[in-house]
Amino acid sequence: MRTLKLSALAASVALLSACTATSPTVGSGNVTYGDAKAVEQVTNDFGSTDLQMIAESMARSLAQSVAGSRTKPTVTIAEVKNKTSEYIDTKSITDSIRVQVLKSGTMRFMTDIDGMQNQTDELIRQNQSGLYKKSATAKVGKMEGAKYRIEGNITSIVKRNSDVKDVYYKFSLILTDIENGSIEWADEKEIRKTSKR
Amino acid sequence: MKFKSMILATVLLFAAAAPVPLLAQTISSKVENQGDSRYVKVTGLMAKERNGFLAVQIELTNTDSSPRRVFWRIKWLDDTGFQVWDDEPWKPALIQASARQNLQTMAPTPKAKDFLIQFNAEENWSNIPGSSN
Repeated sequence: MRTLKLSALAASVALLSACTATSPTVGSGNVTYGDAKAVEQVTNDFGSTDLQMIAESMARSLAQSVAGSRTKPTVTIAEVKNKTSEYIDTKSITDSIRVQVLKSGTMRFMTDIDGMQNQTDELIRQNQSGLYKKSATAKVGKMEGAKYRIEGNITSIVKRNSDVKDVYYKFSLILTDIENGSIEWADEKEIRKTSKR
Repeated sequence: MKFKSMILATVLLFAAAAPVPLLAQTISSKVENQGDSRYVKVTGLMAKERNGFLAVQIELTNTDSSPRRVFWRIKWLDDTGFQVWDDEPWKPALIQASARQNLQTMAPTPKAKDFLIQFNAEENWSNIPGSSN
């Protein structure tokens, strides 16, 4: 019996060591993974590096602006308008900003307009379906309104001649006190990209 | 000799920013050069705390008569050298001909008490693993 166990163990070890000899990939190798943080210079259209640099710059400026407050201010994200001539997913930029600010631990983000439908659906489901015990349901009327609203826009200026295409992006963000309407913080990030034709 | 005094000045600047405990106090210990840059070098470093966040200023000097591009990012560390934030995206910077230029950045979290600059000149860009540029 003991010999049988030892043989099984030896077989398992042999199998494991055989597995480590090959790389854990599937396919012929035509697909490669790159560095998601590398500087993308494929074209001078809006790209991943632009998104990452804008999000990083804005999130750090925002976090620093409220650092030292006794309580974490409550914030909601409104629209960032795309005023450029190309398609840019501005929600993706604000999502990245939110992630970074949340990770910095300086602000609390309240449900924004995009998330409100899911939020109210869940509250209604818990309170009106009759499926949940009262003591363990999220109560209606307890949501907290944000003190500040973040919004902004991205614009671009494109110039080209026979040799060069130059694109200038400007991403602006403001933080507005919702109650009194005053702008409490603003910042912008500029990016210039030039390509030879 | 001039470079040595520059390093000394930097060390003194670090010492002046006393609230920030830095693991080492020289430029070379704070910069991870990826390849040997011929024209653009980190010639100054300053760090201070602003509202609990570590702020860093990097002085780059281009000795070439043409503008030169570099790529940089920072690893944010706690006071034990443990990395406290994800890898940053590489950032491009254009340093004008025969110029000194400052880059400023801010730590993403108050947990960051120290830093390491990863620096790469354009001519060395292919040294970065995973880069297709």
